[in-house]
Amino acid sequence: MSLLLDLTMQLPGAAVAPLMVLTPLLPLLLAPFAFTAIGRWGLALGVLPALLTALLVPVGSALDLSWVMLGVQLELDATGRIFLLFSGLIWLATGLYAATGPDRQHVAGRFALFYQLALAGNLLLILAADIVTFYVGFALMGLSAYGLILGRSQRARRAARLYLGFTLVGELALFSALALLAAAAGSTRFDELAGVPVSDAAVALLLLGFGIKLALPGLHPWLPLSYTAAPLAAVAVLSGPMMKAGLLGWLRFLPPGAPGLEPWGTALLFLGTLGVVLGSLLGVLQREPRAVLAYSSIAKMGLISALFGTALTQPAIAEPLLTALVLFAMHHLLVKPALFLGVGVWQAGPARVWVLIGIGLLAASLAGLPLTGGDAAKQALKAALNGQVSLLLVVSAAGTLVLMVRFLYLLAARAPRAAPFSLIPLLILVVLLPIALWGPFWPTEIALSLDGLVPLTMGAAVAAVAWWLTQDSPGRVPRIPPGDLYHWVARLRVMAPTLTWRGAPDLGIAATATTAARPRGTQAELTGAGLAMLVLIALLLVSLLPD
Amino acid sequence: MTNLLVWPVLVPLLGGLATLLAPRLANPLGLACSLATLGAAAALVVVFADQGPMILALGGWAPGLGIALRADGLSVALLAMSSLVGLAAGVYATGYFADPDVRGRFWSLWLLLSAALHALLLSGDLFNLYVTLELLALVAVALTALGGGRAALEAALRYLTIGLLGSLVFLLGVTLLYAGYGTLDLVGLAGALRPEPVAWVALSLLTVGLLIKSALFPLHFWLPPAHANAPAPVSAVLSALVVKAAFYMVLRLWFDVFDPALTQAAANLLGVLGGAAVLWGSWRALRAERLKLLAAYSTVAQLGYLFMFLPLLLALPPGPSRDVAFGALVLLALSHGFAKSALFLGAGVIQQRAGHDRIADLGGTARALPVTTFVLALAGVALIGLPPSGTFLAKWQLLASAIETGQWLWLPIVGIGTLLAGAYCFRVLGHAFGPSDRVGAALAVGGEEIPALLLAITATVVLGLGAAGLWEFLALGTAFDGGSR
Amino acid sequence: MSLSNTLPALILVSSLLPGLAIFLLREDSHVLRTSLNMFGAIAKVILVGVMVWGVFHAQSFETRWTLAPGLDLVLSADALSVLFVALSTGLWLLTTVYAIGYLEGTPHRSRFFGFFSLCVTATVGLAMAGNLFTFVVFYELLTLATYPLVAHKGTPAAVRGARIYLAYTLSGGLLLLIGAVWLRTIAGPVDFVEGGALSDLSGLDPTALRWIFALLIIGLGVKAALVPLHGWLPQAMVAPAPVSSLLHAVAVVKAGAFGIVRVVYDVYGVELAGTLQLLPVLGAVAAITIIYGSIKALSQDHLKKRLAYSTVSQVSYIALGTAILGPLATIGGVVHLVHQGIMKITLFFAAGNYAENLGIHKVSEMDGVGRRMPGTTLAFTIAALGMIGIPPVAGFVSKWYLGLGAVEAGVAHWVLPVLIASSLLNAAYFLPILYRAWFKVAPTAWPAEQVRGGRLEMPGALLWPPVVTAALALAIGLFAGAPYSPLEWTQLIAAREYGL
Repeated sequence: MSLLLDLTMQLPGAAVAPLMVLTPLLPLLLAPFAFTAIGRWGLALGVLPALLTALLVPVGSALDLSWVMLGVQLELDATGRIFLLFSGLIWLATGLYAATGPDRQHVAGRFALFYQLALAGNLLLILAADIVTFYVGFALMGLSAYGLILGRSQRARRAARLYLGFTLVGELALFSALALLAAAAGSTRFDELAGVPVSDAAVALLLLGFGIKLALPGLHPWLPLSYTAAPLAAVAVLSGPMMKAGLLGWLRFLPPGAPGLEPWGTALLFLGTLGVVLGSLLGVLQREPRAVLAYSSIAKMGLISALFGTALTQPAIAEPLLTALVLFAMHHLLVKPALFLGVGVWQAGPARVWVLIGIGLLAASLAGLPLTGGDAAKQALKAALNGQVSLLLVVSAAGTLVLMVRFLYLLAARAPRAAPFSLIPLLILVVLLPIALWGPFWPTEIALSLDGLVPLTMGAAVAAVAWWLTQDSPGRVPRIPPGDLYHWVARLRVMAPTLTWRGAPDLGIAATATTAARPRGTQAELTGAGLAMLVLIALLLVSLLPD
Repeated sequence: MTNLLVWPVLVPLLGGLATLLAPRLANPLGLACSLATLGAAAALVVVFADQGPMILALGGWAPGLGIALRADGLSVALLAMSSLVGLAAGVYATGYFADPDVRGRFWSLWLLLSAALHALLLSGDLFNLYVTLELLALVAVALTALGGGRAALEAALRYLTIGLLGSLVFLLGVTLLYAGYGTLDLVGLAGALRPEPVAWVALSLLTVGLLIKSALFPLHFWLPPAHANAPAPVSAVLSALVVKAAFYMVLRLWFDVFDPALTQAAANLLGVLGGAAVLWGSWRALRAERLKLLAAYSTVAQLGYLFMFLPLLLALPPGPSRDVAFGALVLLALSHGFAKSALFLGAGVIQQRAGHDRIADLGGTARALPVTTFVLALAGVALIGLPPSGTFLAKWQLLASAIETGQWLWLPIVGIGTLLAGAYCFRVLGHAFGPSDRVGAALAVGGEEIPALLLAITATVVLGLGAAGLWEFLALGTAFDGGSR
Repeated sequence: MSLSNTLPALILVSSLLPGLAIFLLREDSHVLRTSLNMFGAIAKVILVGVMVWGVFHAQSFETRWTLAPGLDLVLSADALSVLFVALSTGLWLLTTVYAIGYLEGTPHRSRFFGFFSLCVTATVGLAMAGNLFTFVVFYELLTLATYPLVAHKGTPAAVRGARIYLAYTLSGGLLLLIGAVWLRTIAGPVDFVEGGALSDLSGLDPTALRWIFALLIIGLGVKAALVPLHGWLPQAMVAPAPVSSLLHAVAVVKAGAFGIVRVVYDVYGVELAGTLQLLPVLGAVAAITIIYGSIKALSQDHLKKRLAYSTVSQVSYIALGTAILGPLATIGGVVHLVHQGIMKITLFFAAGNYAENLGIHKVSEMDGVGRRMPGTTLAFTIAALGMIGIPPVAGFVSKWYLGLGAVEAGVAHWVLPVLIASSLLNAAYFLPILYRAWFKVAPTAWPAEQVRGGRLEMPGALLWPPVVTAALALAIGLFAGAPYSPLEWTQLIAAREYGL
């Protein structure tokens, strides 16, 4: 894995600490200025220290800020560095896009505020070397994203609400899991966490907490809704850096080889496979380009989860597998946001044919066609897997191909949006294209491999058959709205209040009943207090009795 | 210096005669006498604290033959309270009675009452006690009727009748004792007394006679109308002082004279009655429609607390723990005296300003009469038994003694009584804070509010924070030797 | 008469005397009253500062005054009392500023500020109480001093709210009193001792000790608003906003919670409390309260009522932390004493500002208020997020330690779900408010808008207190690990209680 790690230059030691602190701090400092003139350009500025840190700070640099919060520990390790670099790139590109794109008039203010906060959270969790700091970053990122999704449409608001419900559940599951871990280890530092047995409850909660971010099947309904309704820039960072933070969480807290993890790995493998299949199937049935991309993300995350599960079940091959998995995830981290940004540029911008070709290339890379980064990532995985679960890889690749074809088809059929001409977004896409196409690999690492052609053929066949079957009667295609499960559950009217967090006041149910003042006399009140105490006394008494 | 004992009796007696002769000068004369009485009481306190118990044989005869005045911690403490409350009520009364005739009569009666009371507190023999008690009752009846009006006269008459009945019963007991032991001197009696039928019968008669006068439930029915219909300064001294005199005698007789004959069962009986008084008095106070009636019922309840101490005192072994409980009892009596007189004076202010004392129509009092509202609140604090009042400390000891002696019954009674007291006190305050303006909008601090304020502060703050001295004071010894206390 | 035995008394006097003086002032002597108020508040802050410094340097402070044989009024300073004293003194200063602004031009201000000062006097006395007797004394005084404040407006609703408040607190005070007397009778003077006053005594009847514990906790639970003793708190919200702040954050509710902490740690001591099996019940009650309060809060449209039920829920975190044996849970519970206070006072300040400036009393009227009153709403937002437990606001720190403590004590299987459910419910009743305030479109007219000049959205005396407390809530969360932070101080307390 040569990658970009050779780039490390010698940085004066004195500059390391400020740079690391500044990485999460600068976005935070920029956040209050979101409502001012700086707000718009601050979108691109905030991430710069992070990129500098990723490129210049030597791996292993650590920082002890024990006076902040519950003792903040920052460290840049190899994994963190990769995450930091590519996440930073996407945040930079998205920030620039948001500042110059078709919606640039609306980004100053709320969007910029939450963008900076989410960015800060993401960067903090990557650098975190202790449980609490990681959690703080994760929560900051996850909750701030609510404000990013929250566009100006009713649909976006609904999506944001659903997202928030899921995220809150995830945060709390994570909170509990991390509390369990910290208590078991007697410390919150990552380095003292190693080798500490992880209880089943903690594992389940970790899978749940990060699984929501990774949109495991069943935990996914927020994703298609958000991806189709939120502003494009928000979707870009959601689909890339933020989603991958879930994987980073697993990597940090579920080291393969720890006792008792195998059954969980099997479960994850199963769930992930389900995600691959369902994501592909439901994705094909979508009628919006963005929805197809959303389901493609579900499928890809399913694959990542399944492979992580494999790593848990087989600690022997875990190390190379996880290395390859990180590369694979990084590739997705780069391509998916690029695709979303491409959608935006295509809708508004000039040179539509060239843009469409560029998008096509990106889609090909995502599908893992030969000579792309996607193919290289897949090869790395295959090598690490020694031929195991190869069917899953094939299915995934075929599914992705079908989805990409569907995506391009839907995109090309769309009418462009009337928007002012803007060159900069196009330039962003042009710069991003090669990075996303081949990243995280150097072009020299890309070798021609014909393995990719197997799923290609399969996918093409499936696509052709499907097209042929539905060509005459589009009505036979079942209509699955993005967010599938959500709509079905909503139709059943059994939505838990936590999912919609509407709360009673908005529904206006109980409020009138309890606020209506009932006149009560002094005696009645005294009696009431006395009775209540009696009941409590009785309760206390019963339990105070000796065994 | 033992002739100091004479002055607290003599000064008001002479003053009463003087005001009778010169009713026009009643106010200055009365005030001067009250001040002088206070001075005498203060001197007594100082000397007592320095020298301990005092005995004065009047006319030079040895006790047993002649009249002896005796002073111990209990009587000096009550005497001090009496002269303080008397002065405050007197100052308030100077502006209360518009009619100079009534004012003159008030002062002479009041000074006479004061003299009788002090004589009672200092008396060392049973006959004197009887005489002073009788005098006290008669003067009190006259004072009750002072306000005129049908209700006041009826109440006074009732008071008189009941008082006479009590006196008769008491007198019977005195006679029996004299027949049995040939002496009425308390110390002599104490030495001679045996647990035998005479003593038992006498004790019963004496006690019941005193119970009527101290209005212990269920013999309390005369008190509320009498205290509620008397003029405010009179109500104050009746509730604060006169009923306490009877209780003082119960205490004196039980523990200094009849100690050998006492049984726990008897004490329990009084305690139970006291408990019933607490519950019933508090309940009726809560239901009362008028402020002064509330205060009167509250007196019934507070006297119940005093009687509840009896079974506890008896059950505690003589020694430090009984002394602590006894001090608490005295403290409770003192705090109640100050608080109740403050409450009545405050009620008087409201009655004069608003023309009524109906609780439901007190709205706006807090705005119009902030000082008096404050007085009501402070007095309420003491009546409920909340810190920093002396009552709080007393109640603490009451509960502690009850737990220590295993008499758990008193706990719920004290608890319920406290809550009821809270309810009736804050019922008044709740109305006073209310929005109506029937009391009158004039925002004024009148001089007539000051005595009540000082009394309330004494009950709530001074006695609460400075009570520690009381126990030392009481520990200086007794002039009524022979008892086990 | 050295400083070490007069300082606690001086701290009391610094608010008592101005309070008494204010009573005597004429209604229109505004300047003098304000000066007295501020003088008292600032003097108290300085004196408390001296005490904090002293306690940190292991100096001991004690004022002792005998009231009756065996009953001493003891004011002393240990780490726990200093924490509470510092909290209430600091917040009192802000509340005073706020109240001066809030009540400008209303009648009966002398009365109000008089009782206001008495209230904080009682709170500080309670905080510094060196034995159970002293605690009971100030606990009752607090009831007395707050009653007129709740009834201050004089409306039927206010008088009624005050009456209910009184009915509850007097009953609670009575049980506390009986418990305290009982304990005093069997165990002698119960001085608060780190590690537990009763731990040195042996041969006490366990049954009696259990009964006493029940009496004490129920008595304290009334003020701490443990379910089902919480009924007064939502009723008391009729009081003016500064009083609500006082009730919810500075004084009353805190006094109950503080008392529970005292009783468990400094009277019984962790060891004895564990042996007697007292804590699981307390924990269960606290857990029920946490959930119940949150559920009730969901259905309240009245903003202050929603906040009141939120207090019911949040204060029980302190009880919960106390009920879980182990230093980490102790830290979580005790530090929440401070954190909840600062966050909740912010919320009430903000609620007061909405009512004062725009006539907004209900959640459903808050659409778009964020743009109209950004400073206030920002403060509200930070505090609300803290209440939910979102880092890095202070509330997160408490929750984290409670969670860790639960795991440490092996009770995670029921504590963690409670914490999670509570957080979710918190989110469910706070986030809609934030959403409305920031993201919904403002109505064309507010219910009762005050027209004011000036650059700020509110007069400074009303705007700055919530902004300062919100910043504080953020800062003590963000710098929880820094020296002198509440967390640091609480760790010191926990270490001493557990003899570590």
